[in-house]
Amino acid sequence: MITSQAYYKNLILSLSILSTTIISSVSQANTFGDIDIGVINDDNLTRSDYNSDKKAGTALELFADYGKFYDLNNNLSATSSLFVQYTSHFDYDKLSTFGFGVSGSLRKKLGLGAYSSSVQSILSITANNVNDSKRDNKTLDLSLGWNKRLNDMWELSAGVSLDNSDATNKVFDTSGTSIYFSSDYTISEKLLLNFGVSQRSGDIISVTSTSNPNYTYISLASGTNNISDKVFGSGLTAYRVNATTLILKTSLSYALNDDSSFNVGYEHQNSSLAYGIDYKNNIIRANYIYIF
Amino acid sequence: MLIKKIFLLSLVIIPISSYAEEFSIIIKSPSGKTIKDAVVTLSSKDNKKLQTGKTYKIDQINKTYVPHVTIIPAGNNISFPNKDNIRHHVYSFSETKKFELPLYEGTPTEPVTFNKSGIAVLGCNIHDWMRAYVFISDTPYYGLSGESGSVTIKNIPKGDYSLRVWHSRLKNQSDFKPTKIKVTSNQTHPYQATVALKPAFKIRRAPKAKRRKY
Repeated sequence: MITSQAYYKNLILSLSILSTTIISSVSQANTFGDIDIGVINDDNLTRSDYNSDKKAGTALELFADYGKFYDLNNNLSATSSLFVQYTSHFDYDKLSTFGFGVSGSLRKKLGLGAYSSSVQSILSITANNVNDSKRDNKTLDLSLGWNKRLNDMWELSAGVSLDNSDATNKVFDTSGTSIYFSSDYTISEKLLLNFGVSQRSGDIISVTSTSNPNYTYISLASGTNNISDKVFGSGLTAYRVNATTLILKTSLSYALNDDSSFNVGYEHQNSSLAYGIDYKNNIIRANYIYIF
Repeated sequence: MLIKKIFLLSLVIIPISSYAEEFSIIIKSPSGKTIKDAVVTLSSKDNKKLQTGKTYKIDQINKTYVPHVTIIPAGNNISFPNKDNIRHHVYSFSETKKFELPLYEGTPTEPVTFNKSGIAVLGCNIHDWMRAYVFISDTPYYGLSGESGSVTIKNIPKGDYSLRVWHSRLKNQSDFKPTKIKVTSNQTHPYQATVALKPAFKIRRAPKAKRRKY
């Protein structure tokens, strides 16, 4: 696992140099921005397999970014952006997080026209400040995806992504690799339905009590990667384990106009780890997105 | 002297007035809703010669082609001014006219000539939702419906014509087959054509929920 702060500094520097190079090599850049406001509910924030340890919570999510779009040539485009995000947990304030970061993407269209496929790579680096300071982290996300619009109704995408999080306390360090498949279906001029499935192999953070019947197995699975954690109450332990997580998600997007939409989504996650232990959680969210 | 002038003037006016008939039509959906952006053409064996060499215009404004549908007689040109402060790209894969204007800003120096009648679908490789249609007409008698669904074709000689109605979302291509009609000097009510359209499944521009990390 990569944990060096210097590593991130170098990455941010590299991204800045890359952005500067792109900016200087093209004559035209279009600015863009997104504002995303929503509410999210997770029925198992603790990622626990033990019912009495499961804690549900609702949070307000705010996200805003501002960036530039570069049309490098007829088939190649790039973006660079700065973003801020804030999650305010109503039930567990210690989880509330303010984050900011940079993101860059490169998209290559493999032909001409709206129906030609494209490949895209996205890199983002985020610094997160969590109310529970031992969870403060810097994360890096890198994805490589393929996209194809079959017709005006169906659009498919698939890809792989890597995530790496370097936290103040190493128990909260995580990294993972995901593969994903997603499809958009246009129901009407205003309505868009999305289905997605992904599988992530990597670390997850779970919180449980010693009264959990599986605690012995969890201790074996996590080794020394555990710490006393009071975010969800006293007598609980946070630990890091390796798991395979299957994520099924669907969302419905209603276009209010060309620049904004209202979205609702549902997501089911099932994490399987050693000793037959499974963590299941369900997430619902509703959000409004405005682009400019 | 005055009588002579009036006599000479009437010789000029009479042929014009007998030539200048009007043909009106309203395009509606099967549910009775008026249809915008429908192309109506009238053609006959005696079509007068098309005027050529004129340059029409399709703007690019706020990442949208304006107008969405353009009718031009075959043999004419279209220029594509880019009025956005970003670069656009214009292409057509259509058999009627294949061309590509690589990324540019401002107005390309040379307009594009459309010699062959038919339909050309335009796109922008940067902004996939941008789409426009060029209907290249083989007859000088044509019109485009507005919000009211109505089209009036003026200065058309009386006679037998083939009426065709086209729309970019025509559900049944059979609706594009010609219908025989007669243009007379006493059309009291507009013709009515009913065409079924496919739903407006244009590529969406509005944002959708982002794929969030686990």
